[in-house]
Amino acid sequence: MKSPTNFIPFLVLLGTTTGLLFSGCTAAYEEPRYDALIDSGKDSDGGTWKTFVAGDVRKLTIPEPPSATSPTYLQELNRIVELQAKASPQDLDTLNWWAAGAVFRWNGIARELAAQYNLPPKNKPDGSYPVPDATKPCDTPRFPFANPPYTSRLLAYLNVAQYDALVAGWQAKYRFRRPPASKVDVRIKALRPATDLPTYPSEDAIVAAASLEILKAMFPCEVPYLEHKAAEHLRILTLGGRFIASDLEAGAALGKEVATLVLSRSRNDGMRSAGNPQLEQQAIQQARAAGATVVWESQDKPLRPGMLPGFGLLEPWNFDKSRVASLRPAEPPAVGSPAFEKNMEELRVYAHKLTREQHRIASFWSDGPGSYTPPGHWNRIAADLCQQGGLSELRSARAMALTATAVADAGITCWDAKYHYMYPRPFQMDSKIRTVVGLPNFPAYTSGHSTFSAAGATVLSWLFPEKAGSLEAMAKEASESRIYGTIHYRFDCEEGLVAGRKVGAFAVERARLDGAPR
Amino acid sequence: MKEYILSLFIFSCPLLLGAQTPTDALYMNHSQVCFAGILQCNTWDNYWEGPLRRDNPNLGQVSHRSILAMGAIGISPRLNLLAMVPYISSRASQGSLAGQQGMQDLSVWLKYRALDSQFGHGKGKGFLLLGSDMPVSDYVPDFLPMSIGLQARTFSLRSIFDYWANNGLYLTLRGGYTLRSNITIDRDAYQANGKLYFTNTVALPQVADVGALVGWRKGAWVSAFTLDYTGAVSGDDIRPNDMPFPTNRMLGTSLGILGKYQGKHWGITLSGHLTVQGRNIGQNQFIQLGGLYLFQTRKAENLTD
Repeated sequence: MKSPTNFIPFLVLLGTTTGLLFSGCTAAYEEPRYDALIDSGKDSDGGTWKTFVAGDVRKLTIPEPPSATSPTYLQELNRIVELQAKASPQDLDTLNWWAAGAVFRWNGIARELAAQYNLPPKNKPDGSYPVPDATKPCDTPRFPFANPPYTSRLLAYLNVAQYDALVAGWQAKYRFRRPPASKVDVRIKALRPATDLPTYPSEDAIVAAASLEILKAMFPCEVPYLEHKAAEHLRILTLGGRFIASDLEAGAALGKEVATLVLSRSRNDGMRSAGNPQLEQQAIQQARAAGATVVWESQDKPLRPGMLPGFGLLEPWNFDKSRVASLRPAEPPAVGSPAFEKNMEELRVYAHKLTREQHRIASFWSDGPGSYTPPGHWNRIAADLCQQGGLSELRSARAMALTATAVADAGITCWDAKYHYMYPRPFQMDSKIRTVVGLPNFPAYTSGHSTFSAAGATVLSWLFPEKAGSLEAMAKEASESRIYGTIHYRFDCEEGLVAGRKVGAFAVERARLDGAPR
Repeated sequence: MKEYILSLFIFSCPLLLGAQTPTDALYMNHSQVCFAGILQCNTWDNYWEGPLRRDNPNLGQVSHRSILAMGAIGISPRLNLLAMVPYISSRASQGSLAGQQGMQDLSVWLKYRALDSQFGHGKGKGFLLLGSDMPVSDYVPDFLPMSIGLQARTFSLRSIFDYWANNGLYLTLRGGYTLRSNITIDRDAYQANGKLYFTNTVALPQVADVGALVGWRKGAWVSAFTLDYTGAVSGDDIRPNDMPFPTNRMLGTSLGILGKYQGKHWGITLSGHLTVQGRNIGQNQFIQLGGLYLFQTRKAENLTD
């Protein structure tokens, strides 16, 4: 018999080799790094661009900055010199993180919160569902339930506030034309590049303060976190060498003022009654009166009231509310009709067997509970395009606001159709059509993914024409993903794409006329 | 043990009993070969959402059934090589979520007999094992709880100590640690640890396990009670009313029984366990039935080794 020790070196070698091979596979996640945004100051007319809500920004009061010869100004410069001398390596990391862009970062924060708050409440023991309460946002279930319509709306308010406030800021920048601190004082290091863009008021501070106001209203339980992030942002901006205290103070005041104006719209946009469960009952009666033989029923157990039955009644951003009904797609095939059966057959095939690629597509675009939702997905696509394209804060904010309002309008028109037709989901009609993504708790016709995606892709394709092909392909794939997931009929998706493109065209129309270069 | 480690939520599995496995003190003699075919069924009606035990009427009863092929060979007097691969299919009795099916992961183990000697009125044995899992199909890992596995490549180190008294009573103690590779999911953003990750790469927590087995082994017969704990050493909890995710800190304690008969060639094993305490896993009821065939590839010089 061989000695047992013969095998020990072998085992050690095997273990070490495998361990080494393996160690490369378990590396910790590293956050992607983004290039610092550099605005070379091309848009000196940015203050004349048309806003969404704020109206004529010249009416806003922006105090005259301390003059370049005043003691205050010199004190503020000295302060930057002191702060830069004390900056720690962590401070520089934080500075670099925010340097990717204020609009970019605050949208990321909003998406993260949307994902965290995107959980349907759990039922009570009696089978009813508690409703998140805005006046007690931290109680269980937390307020809000950031579902796709809610998220589309909050992202629209966020980006509109950022954009409108930046337009106001640009107007003041080119009135006062204050140069970056590092250009007037050789002791100050340009940790963020100094360009010809005037610094008073600070565009970063504008975005920070505007975002803080909007997100505090949208996520009232997150006020301490948001205030912490805004304070960090403002603190770190003083290290960059571009801004001095008065730049930041003026920017923060302006951002807050414009955001307050924008928020006043949110109090009367129809959201307050969008969750009223009586609207669902009315919708059922109306659909039956219009001849529907089968109406949508929740497939959740216990039966859950449909998601936001009144969201279709909200005030749209880029067209008048009276046009919503005209954007509504034609009636879907009657349940049981040959056209309906043909669509069911297609779904039965997918329910039986999906290719791996089809399953990948269904998963990739699932954007279900716990995610930032399809509006968040398109917000990310837009933010990445702006960041990669090196767009200025102002141009990013415009692109993001146009996209976000189009996506929110898509939600409004889609929800209008959903609760107009009250069309059942495939699984309601045939329980053998099991799904590889979660079954949404609202009517099928039309597909929200398709409408959101087509609206987003239409706006972004206009803004980034060189990307139009891939954006259209993404919208198409997002739309198809719902068929592969067997939660939508093909006609839900096709009609959703058509309506989404129409909705997106309204945002493009606004963009053509807002005074900004394409 | 791989199913046990890999997919606690999915189905907390098998001490592939009786057959020579990564978790027992049984051992193939030199040039002996064993093939086994095993059927498994794991079901749960309740699960732990973090520490909260709950049901979910939108899932009903979740079951994972599998058929597993396994082989073991004594490649030297002190070293065994084991390999196994399961085909798994899942379903939920309620709700709309679709079942999943496919080949899961190939596991390969080297089992080294480090210790084998008389102690008092019995025999003591010690084993060291190295093992690795390799997914063999492109199943979807983050469609929990319906997924059939987590797509991780793993590397495990384990040890087993066994004391077998002359009267047939025996006690086995075992423990292991499993490193799991990062996995790639179809989505490019996910939430874990209270944070949103903008990537399709997911880091999985590593897993430790300990277990004890006390029973009786004489001639062709083996029977025992088992107690096992398997747990991720880090990870997050399932968020309220959300789906599980591969980063969850899945852990569980189970109690089980097993029985085995092994004749000269043919053997049969039957075992089961219940999860009595857990976190982020289903409250599993697991049962398995296996048939074994054992034979000698050549005249062994030392069958009693």
